[in-house]
Amino acid sequence: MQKSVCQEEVYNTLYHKHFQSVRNYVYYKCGDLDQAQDIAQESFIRLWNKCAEVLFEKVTGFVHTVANRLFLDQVRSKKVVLNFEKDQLPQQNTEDPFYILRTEEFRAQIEQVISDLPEGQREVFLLNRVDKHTYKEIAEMLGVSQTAIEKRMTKALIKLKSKIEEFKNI
Amino acid sequence: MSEQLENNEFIARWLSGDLSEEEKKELANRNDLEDLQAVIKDIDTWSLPAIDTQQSLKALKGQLQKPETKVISLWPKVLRYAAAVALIATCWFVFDYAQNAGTVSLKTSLAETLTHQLPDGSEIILGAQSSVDYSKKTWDKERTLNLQGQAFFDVEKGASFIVETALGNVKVLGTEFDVQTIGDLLKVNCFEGSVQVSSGTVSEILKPGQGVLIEGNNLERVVSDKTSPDWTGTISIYEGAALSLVAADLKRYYDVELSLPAAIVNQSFSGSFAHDNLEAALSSIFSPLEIAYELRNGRTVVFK
Repeated sequence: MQKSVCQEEVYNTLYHKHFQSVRNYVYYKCGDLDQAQDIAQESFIRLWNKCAEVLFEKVTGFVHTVANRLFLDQVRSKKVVLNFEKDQLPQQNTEDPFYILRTEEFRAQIEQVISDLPEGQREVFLLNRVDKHTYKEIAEMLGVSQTAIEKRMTKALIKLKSKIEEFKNI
Repeated sequence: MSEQLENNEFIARWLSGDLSEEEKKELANRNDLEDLQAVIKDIDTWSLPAIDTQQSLKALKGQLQKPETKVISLWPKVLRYAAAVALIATCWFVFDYAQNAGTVSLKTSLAETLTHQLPDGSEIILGAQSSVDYSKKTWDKERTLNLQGQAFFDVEKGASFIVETALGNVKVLGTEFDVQTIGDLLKVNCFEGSVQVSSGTVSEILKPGQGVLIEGNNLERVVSDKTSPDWTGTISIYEGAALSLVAADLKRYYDVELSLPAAIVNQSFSGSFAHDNLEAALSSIFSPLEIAYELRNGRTVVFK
């Protein structure tokens, strides 16, 4: 028998599997964890209300699309500032060629660069690096082609690369 | 340099490890990606506060309603049954009314003949693709019926018996006769008693063995020694009939597509065709006239 989203066990499993991803996705857009959490919850409420119409295979696309729409409905804060939890910096060896890349200051600059990326590039980059989704999975979530995802990723990486070079030369 | 990185999303596929062998060789020639790789390695360790989804799901459950189930009101269903009952009742009423009081309509389809007893005991044999209607209520006073197509009548003695057709009326006293309308042609044969045929300005009284063909104001008398029409049996018989008329009859007995070439429309045909075998019927009409034809898909006749 086809798995129905209306079955509670199925719904619960889907929730545990995708909720954090949806929350993070919205966070990459708005930079506000509480808002992201609320939007993600609302997306899953919509999923439940439409459970009879959403195919099991299309759930990830559905919840991300709904989250995006809910996000667009809310007033967008002009500037997005993202903050991530980071591991303690390792003991620095000043002879390490990458030494400069591993200072708190440098990390903050990179975080800023990512926050300043256009929304489309930012969410793809972070869904890939932080949430460890493949390009293919992201394409499914956002309902676009994998090539479109790779194009956004390329732009994000080129930008990041040029900024790193810029910072190093200061 | 950066153009090459953008080309075919090279840098995105470099990161996801999806480069082709050739591209990997290309990669070996460059050393400007090391810094980026080091930074991304660091970014890969970044995270967002984890969510206790058990907890948040519990919070969510309070806001969920039962999934929408469609509520189907009983009323439309009840109304549907009521409508069905009303419709059946109406049909029954109309049928009953038509049977006992109103108009009786008889209709035959392709290749069908129907024998029907009229209220006074007279008999009609209705030919294929023909229809007749009469009023049962007024039959005792006025034996009038309306005919389209072909019918044979065996009329009981009594008051006048009138067959109305679009092309003219046939009035009789107890007798046996045959009336047919084909296109603009009215064809009447009398087998017993006497019949008066009138159409427009033309009028003719027929005695047994006499027949008449009326088309517009043209009247043609025909003589036959038969005592009943040929078509009421299982074959149709013709004496010097126009081929167009024979073809028109054929189409009433068989579901067949046939259009005669103009050259042979007026050829005359003497002979018969059976009502129960199309191939034999076609052969018995066209073979004696040496007209080449072909039956395609069992229902289309093509002339060569």
